[in-house]
Amino acid sequence: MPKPRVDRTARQVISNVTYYTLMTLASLIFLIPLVWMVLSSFKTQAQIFDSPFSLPTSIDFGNWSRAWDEGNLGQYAINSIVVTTVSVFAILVFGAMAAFALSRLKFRSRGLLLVVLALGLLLPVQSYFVAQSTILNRLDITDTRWALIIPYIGLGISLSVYLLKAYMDSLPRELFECARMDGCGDVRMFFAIVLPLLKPGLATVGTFSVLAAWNEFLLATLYIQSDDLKTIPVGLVAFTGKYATDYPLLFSALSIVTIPMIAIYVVFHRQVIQGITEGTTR
Amino acid sequence: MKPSSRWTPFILLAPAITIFVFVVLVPMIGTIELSFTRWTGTNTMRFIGFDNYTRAFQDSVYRLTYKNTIIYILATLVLEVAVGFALAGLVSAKGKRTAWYRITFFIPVMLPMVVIAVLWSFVYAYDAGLLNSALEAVGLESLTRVWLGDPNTALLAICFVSGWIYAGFYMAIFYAALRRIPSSILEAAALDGANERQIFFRVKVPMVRNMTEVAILLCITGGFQTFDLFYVMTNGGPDHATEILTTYIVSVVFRDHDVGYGAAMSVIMTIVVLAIGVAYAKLRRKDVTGVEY
Amino acid sequence: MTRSPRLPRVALAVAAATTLTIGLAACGSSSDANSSDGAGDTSAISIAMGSTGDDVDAVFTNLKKEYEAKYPGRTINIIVQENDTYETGIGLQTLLASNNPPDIYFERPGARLQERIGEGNAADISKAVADPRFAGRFDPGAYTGMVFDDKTYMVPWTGDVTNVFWYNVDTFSKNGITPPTSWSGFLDVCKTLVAGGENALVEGNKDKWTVGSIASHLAARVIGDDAYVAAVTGQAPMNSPEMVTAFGHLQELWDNGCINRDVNAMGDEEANTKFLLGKSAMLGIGSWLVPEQLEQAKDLKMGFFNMPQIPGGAGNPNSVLGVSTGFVVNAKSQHQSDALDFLALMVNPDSTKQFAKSGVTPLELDPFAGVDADANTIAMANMLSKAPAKVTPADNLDVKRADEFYGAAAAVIGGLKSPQEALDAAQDRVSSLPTN
Repeated sequence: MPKPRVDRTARQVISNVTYYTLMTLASLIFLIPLVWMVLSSFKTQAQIFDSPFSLPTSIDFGNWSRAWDEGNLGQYAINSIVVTTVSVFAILVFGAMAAFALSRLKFRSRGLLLVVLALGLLLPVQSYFVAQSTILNRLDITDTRWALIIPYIGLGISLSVYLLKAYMDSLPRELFECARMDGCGDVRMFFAIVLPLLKPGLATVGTFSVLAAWNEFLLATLYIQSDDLKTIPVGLVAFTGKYATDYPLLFSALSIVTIPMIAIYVVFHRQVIQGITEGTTR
Repeated sequence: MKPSSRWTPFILLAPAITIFVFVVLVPMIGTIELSFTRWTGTNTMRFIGFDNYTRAFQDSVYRLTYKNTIIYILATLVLEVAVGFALAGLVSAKGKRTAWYRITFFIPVMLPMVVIAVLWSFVYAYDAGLLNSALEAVGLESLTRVWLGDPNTALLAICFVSGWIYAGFYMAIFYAALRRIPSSILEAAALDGANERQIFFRVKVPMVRNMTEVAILLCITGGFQTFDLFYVMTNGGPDHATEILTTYIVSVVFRDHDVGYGAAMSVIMTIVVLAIGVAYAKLRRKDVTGVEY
Repeated sequence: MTRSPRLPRVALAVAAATTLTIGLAACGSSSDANSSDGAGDTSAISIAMGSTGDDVDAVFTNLKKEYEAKYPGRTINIIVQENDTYETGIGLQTLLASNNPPDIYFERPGARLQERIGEGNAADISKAVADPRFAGRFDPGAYTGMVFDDKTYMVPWTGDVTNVFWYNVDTFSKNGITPPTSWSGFLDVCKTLVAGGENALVEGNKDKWTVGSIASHLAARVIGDDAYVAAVTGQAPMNSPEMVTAFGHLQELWDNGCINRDVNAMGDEEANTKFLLGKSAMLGIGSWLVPEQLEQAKDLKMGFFNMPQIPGGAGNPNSVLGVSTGFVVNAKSQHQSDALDFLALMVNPDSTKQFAKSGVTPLELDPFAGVDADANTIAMANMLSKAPAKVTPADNLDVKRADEFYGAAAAVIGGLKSPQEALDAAQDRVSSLPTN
């Protein structure tokens, strides 16, 4: 009978339209502040105050280059890159080593160490940063890049070990036992067998750790005072304090920091989302 | 598997354990020690027993931080977890192209908190801020507020920003969980005549129960640890309306130089967070029913 | 393999315990990381401060060159931190607590200097300041708050007026207003401006000290200079009826629409810019607005007036709210005489001229001689030096109590609490503060 079919198609069209309108509205909520930020970075101070909704009269990147130079953004970027790279590398390598030992090797204190590392997952950094800052101060490492790298490794190692251990646990036992029977020692086993198979796990932990280190703010604020050692989050806040009222300049700095991150994310979104969701589901 | 040499576990574990001990364990013990002292960081330390703790319990601002934190957690449970779940349901609706939406909703999760904090400080600015300007443009001028300066609105304003950031995150993890539901079950339900909405509420929701519990725990523990957003947007103001545990501890230790007192507050917070974690684990273990995915 | 490697685990635990012991037991011990040389001919010292603006930073860079040229082989490292970081403590405290603390550092006299002395971070430089390099440069009054138990701990640097009311000359003349001399006149001025569609007074009170300073001045004027000090240092209650009256004047500003509605959400820099862009008729801030104005709004015509007189007030009706600043030699420094050499360089007439040109008000005698300084700066300096009484802002008297005092002021100026409520809450918290 033709009538019900027409009804169903019409209903479907309406439901589709409603659906996509709803979704588009929702995305606008997420996008508008960011778009506004970028557009405002091309305006003048007066324009931002008087007509916040207008489109910029010209796309002039002058503000952007000023923000980069005066705001020392290049230096902040270098610091962030160095700190993040070193920390994440260590998190991956040390984490994989520890995960291997805890997953596949039998030894007495195994259970105890797992519990100890679990503390790292439960305890927020605020539980211990007071004494941590004192210790770093005494050892005279504050205001150096190590003051961030070492804590970042410590903060990320628990999750790294647990995730990588979960990955390793899921590898077939026979794989290892055959290799052992072939006379493979632990260290060789680690490099030749474990690491290659761990690649997806390493990617997951890597993504997670890079994001965490790159965006970290609390310790970076407390431990670094010299302007030329600041990472991007701290540098941005200092920039905001110094140029509190030069809105075009501020928006430019924010845009410069934000747009590459969004671009990278859009290109690699599958890996990024996978990394983060894996990190939490396990 | 037995180690090939008695030293291999040690070698493999040493770097991770050493750094962990140095970065987490020793400071944790150190903070507990410091909590029993009076110290400014440069003068001579004095042992004062439990005085810092009694002071904390009488500190009206400290109690306020717990209240604010709880409000924050409740708000974000709705704005982040519930909204995220709803978004996940929407983007996994059958036969819809949603990749771009998923990407968009997730963008704020990637950005540094400080960028978002600065950006939204402008959105909420009184004079030329985006929000007030928008309200004025549509004739709702009476609704304009000093969003971050009015103690009635400041905390919720920040909670909304937190939701803006993390709804996409919870959407992503719920989406992953929903995708793991075998399509055979979904098809069977469809064949039984269930429509999209019924499938969502009667089939999908119960099957992602495990993930929901994880999400709730994440949201709660995350609520205690949040710092960046609050510090940059209001730093506890106005009049402590947005003072949370972390901002208060930081101001006590690094502005008032009351290291011992800050340490005591940290220890109390640790106990609370651990208690919640343990209680939660116990609650979950009791529940053996339900298919887990 | 039947024996598991337990021993290494124990070794790790011992290592952890050792780290802990080293880390925390080293409380009293000072660092010996500072290399000390015998001759004093080659030394590296450092001086720390918060930033007061590019022009001032440039003067220090210049002084560094002069110092190193004058004493070949010696170097000085200038550490300039972002101002808020340095002043609110994260910056300076971390520097002082590190193993390489600065040999000279910026500080404020009074309570803050006393804290440094108590911590053992301030050297007694009485002998040095008596010698001709320093003695002739300052009026003895410049050392107020820098001397304790007849010992001098600080070399004066600049004097700041912490708060006056700046006004836009054109806006005032357009509305037919002249600077008020009484508080009621001040309120009338505000009302006229509001009626004329202008923003009367803008304040950026996000960090609480801008309005807090105004509150300090108001309090001293109303309840008397000594009574104010007593209230803010815990010797008298903060919520006395007289103090409530004083805070009532803050409430008048809110109630009459004089103050911007987002007073507590706006940062001080933003408020400065609003005023310099001509968007507000008045701004209550200190003497450092002048270098900002010269940099950002050269064409703006601005004048200032001191806190208007409050009838029936017990304090000196012409008091000026001001602070001085200075530099301290670190008692833990191994190169104190080198540090003093640099400080001597800093206070000599030529350097004083450089500082005066950069927009700050040096405390040396006659700092603007031969300097083409802005009229406002000279007027400020004159007002400061001729002040019949000086009021110190609360945060220079007692940091923790001032925080509560300023918090109460913020609540009142923002229309959040009544003066009685705000002061009661402040007094409540203040009375539970441990006395050191």
